[in-house]
Amino acid sequence: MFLVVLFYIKNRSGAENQAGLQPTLAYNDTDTLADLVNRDTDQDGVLDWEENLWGTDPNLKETTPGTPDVKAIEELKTKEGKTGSPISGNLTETDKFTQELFSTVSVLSQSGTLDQVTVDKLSETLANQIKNSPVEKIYGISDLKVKKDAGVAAITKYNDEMYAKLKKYPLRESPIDILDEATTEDGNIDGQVLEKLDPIAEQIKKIVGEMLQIDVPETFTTYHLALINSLEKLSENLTDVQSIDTDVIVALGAMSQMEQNIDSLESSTANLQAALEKKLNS
Amino acid sequence: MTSGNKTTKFIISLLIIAVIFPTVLFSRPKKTEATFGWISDFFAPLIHGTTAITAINTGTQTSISLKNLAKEILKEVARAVARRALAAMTQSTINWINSGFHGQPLFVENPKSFFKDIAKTEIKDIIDIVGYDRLRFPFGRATALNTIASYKRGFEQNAQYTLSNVIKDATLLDSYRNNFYVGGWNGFLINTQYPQNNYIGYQLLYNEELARRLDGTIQNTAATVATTLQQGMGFLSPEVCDTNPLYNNLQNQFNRPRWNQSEYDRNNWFPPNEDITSGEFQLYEEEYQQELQKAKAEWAKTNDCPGNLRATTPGSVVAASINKALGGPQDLAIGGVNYGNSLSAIFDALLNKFIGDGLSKLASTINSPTPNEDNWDFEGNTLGVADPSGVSTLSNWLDTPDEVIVLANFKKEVADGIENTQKELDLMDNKDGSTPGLTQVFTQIWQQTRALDQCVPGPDIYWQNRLTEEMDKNISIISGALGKGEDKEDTTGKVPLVIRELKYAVRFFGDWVEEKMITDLPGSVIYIDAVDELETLSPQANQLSAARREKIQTLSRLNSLEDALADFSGDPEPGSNEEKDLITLRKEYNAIKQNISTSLTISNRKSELDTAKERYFRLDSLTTKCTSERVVKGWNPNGGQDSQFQNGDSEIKLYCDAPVVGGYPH
Repeated sequence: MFLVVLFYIKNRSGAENQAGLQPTLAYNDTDTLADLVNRDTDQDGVLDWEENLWGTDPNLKETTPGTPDVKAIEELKTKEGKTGSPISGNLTETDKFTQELFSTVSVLSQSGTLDQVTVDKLSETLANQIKNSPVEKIYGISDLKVKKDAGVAAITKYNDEMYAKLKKYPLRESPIDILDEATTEDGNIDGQVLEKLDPIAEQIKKIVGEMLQIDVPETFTTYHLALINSLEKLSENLTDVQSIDTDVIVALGAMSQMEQNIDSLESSTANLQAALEKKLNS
Repeated sequence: MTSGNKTTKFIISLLIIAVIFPTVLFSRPKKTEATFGWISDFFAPLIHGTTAITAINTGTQTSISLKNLAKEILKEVARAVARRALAAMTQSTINWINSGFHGQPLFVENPKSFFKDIAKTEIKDIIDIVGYDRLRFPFGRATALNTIASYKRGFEQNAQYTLSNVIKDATLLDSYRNNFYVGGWNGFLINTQYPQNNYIGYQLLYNEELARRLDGTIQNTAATVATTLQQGMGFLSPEVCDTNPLYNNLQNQFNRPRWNQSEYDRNNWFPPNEDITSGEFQLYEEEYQQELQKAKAEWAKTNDCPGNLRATTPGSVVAASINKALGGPQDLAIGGVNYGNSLSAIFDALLNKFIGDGLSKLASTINSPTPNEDNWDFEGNTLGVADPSGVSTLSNWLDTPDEVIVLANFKKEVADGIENTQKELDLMDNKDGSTPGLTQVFTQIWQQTRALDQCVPGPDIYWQNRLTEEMDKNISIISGALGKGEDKEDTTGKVPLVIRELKYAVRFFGDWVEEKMITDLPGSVIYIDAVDELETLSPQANQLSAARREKIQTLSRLNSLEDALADFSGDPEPGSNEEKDLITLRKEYNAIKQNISTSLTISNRKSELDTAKERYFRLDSLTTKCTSERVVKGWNPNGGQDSQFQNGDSEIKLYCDAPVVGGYPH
C-alpha cells in the first residue's frame, strides 16, 4: 500500500516507473536512489548490486564466457531448489520494504556513498514515507448527495436522518480500549486481541456508507465530508493495524497515523456539531 | 503499559460504576431529535475510549485527561509495533537472503585474523606437499622447519646472516664463507642451504619482502580474498561441494579440511627393526604406503571435494549477527514522546547496522566464541604463536585477539597489581629510616653534597654563576654611569674599554679562585666533581615525583577496581548486565595497565635506589676524607665562609678579599 513508492524504485518488472510521481528516496540533494539502485552496467537484466551478491561481474554480461549471468544465476537457483526471482512473488510490504532497504544499503555501500549524511537522509525519508503513506479512498463532494436547501427544516431533517441511520450502528467498543488490551505486560502486542478491531472497522465502513446516502444541506458539505474522510482513514488504520503478525510495516504505518486521524475525527465531529447547533439555535 | 495499565483500568472501572449508572438511569436523552450533542457522544468511543462517553458528562477536566490517556495508549502501541517491525524486518531480510540467495554465508568478523589464517593455510599447504615425502623432496623437511621458523619471525631476523650470531670473529666468518677447508661440509651447507647466508638466497628474500611491500602489485590469495570481500561488503561466500555430498560443506575455500599426516604418523607409524634388510625395508615401506593411502581415502570420503567447491552467497551468519545486534524488543531503547521521531531513530539504528564495515559491529567483539584449536603441526612445530619468545611483537591492537575475561584471573591480576605497585611506591618513598625510599635518599644526597661542598675551602657551589651575575650587574651600572643606556649612544667612547677590563678582571678572579680551590686540599678536584654532580639530582627528583604521582593514582584506581570486583561472585552469564559491568571494569583496568608496577619495574626501581644509596655513601666517605684533609692543611674541621685558616683568616677573606685587596697589576 504505502510502500509502493519504495517498491517502484527498484521494481525491475515494473515498466512504468512511478517513482517520479511520488516523493522518493534521496541520498543526496540532487539524486534519487532510483538511478543508483536500478543501475545495470552490463545491461544483462541483473542489477549491479545483485550481481555483487551473486558473485558475478556487474560489468560483464557473461562473467564466465559462454554463460550469460542470468543463466548462471538461474542454474545456481535450480541447483539449490530455489525458484523465482527473490524480489517477485507474493511479498508482504514488510518483505518489499526490507528488501528495498537491504538493496539500497548494498548499492550505496558498494558505490561508496553510504556516509552518515546519506544514512540520516535515507532514514528520514523512510520514516516520512511510512508516516505519510497514501489513503486507499478519499471521498469528494461528488460522492455526496448535496441539497441546495439550507433552511432550518432541511437541517433538522439532516440531523434527524443522521441520527436515525447511525444509531443502527452503535459503537459499543472503543478501538483504544482494544489496543490497550492488546498491549501485553512485556510491552509486546497480542495480534489476536487486535482482531477485535475488525468489527469496529466494518461498522465504521457501514457508517460511512450510510452517511454517503444522506441528503446533505449545501452549507454542511464540508463538515460532512471531513467527518466521512476522517472515519474512512481511521477505519483503514484499524484494518491495517491487525496485520501486525503478517505484515508489520503496514501496521506500523497505521499506528503512526492513527493519532493524527483520531484528532481529525474529533475536530470534524466537533465542527459538525457546532455548525448544527449554530444553525438550529439561530 | 504494564502495572500502570492495570491501575488505569481499575480507575476506569470505578469511573464506569460511579458515572454510568446515573447516566443510564436518569440522563439518557429520550428524544434525540431535539439535541445535537449526540454526534460527539456517538463518535466518542473512537476518540477517547468507551469510558469517555461517561467521562465527558462529568466535566471537561476528566475528558482531557482521558484524551491524554488515549494518546498515551496509542503511543505505547506504536512503540510496540515499531519494535515488532524491526524484528520482522530483520527476519524478512534473513528469509530473503536465505531463499533468494542460497546457501550458508560466511561473514568475516575480523579480517586481520582472517588473513593471518590464510597465510597459515598457505604455509600448511606447502609444508604438507614438501615436508613428508623424503624421496621426492630430500630438502623438504629442512625447508619446512625453516618456513615455520620464518613465519614466526620478522623479515629483519629472517634475512640476518645466521653465523654472525655465534661467530663474532669477522675473519673467521669470512673464511667460513669462502674457504672450504675452514667450514667443510658444515660451512658449505650453512652457507648454501640457508638463503640469508648467500647472495642469491638473500636476494630472493629481499625481493620477496620488496614485493610484499609493493602492495597490490601481486594478486596473491590474500589479495583475491580482499577483493572478494570488498565486493561482497564483508560477506565471503563459502563453498559447497557438488560432487561429494558427504563433504563437510560450508567450509570456505581458505579453510578446507586437511589431511593431518603428523597425527597419522603419531598413531600409525612404528619404526622398522634396526637389522632390517633392504628387501624387508622395501616391504615395510610399501605396507606403510598402502595403509596410508587407505586411511587417506577414508578421510577423503567426507573431507575431499573432487573438482571444485562452488561459491555460495550470504545468509545465515549475517542473519545470526543481525539478530544478535538487534536483540530482543527490550534491548531497543525507543524513547521520545513523538513516535515519529522514534521511527526515524529506528531506521537510523537499522541502517547503521547495515553499513559495510558496520557489519563487524553486529558481532560481539568481546568474549566471542573461542576459535577451534589449530592442532596442525609439523614435527611438533605449530603456527600458533607468532613469536616463540612469548613476547608480543604485535604493534597494533587490531592484531591482538579478542580478550576473554576470567573473573578469578582478573581479580588476581588486580591484587598482584596492587601488591606490586605498593612495593614500587615503597621503594620510591619510605619514611622508615631503616629502609628509606628514593625520595629520602635524594634528600640525604642533597644534604651530604652541601656538607662536602662546605668542607672544600672556597666559595659554595654555583659560585661561577653568581660571579657572572654580579659582573653583568656591574656592566649595566657602568654602562648607565658612562651614558650608555640601552637606547643611548656611547658618547664617551670609554664603555667598551671599561667593560672589557671588568670582564678580564672577573675572569682572572674566577680562574684564581678555581685554581686555589682545586689545589687547596689534596682531594679537592674529586670533591668538587662530586659536588657538581648535584646538577643531575634535580631532574632525577622531578622524574621521581612525577612517577610517584602516577603510581599513587594507579594504586587508588586499582583499589577501587578491587572493591568493584569483590561484588562479583562468579563469572557472569554472557550478555548479562554483570558481564557488561565486568567488561567496563576490564576496560578501566586496561587503561591503567601500563602504569601498574611489574616485577620488571620494581627491579628497575630497586636498582635506581641502590645506585642512589651508593652515591650517598660515596659522598659521605668523601666528606669524612675531606674533613680530615682540612685539618691536616690547617683549616678548621667545619667548613663554611666563616671557617678559619691557621693564620686566623676566614675562608671568605682568603678567597674573596685577598685577590682584591691591594689588587694585582695587570
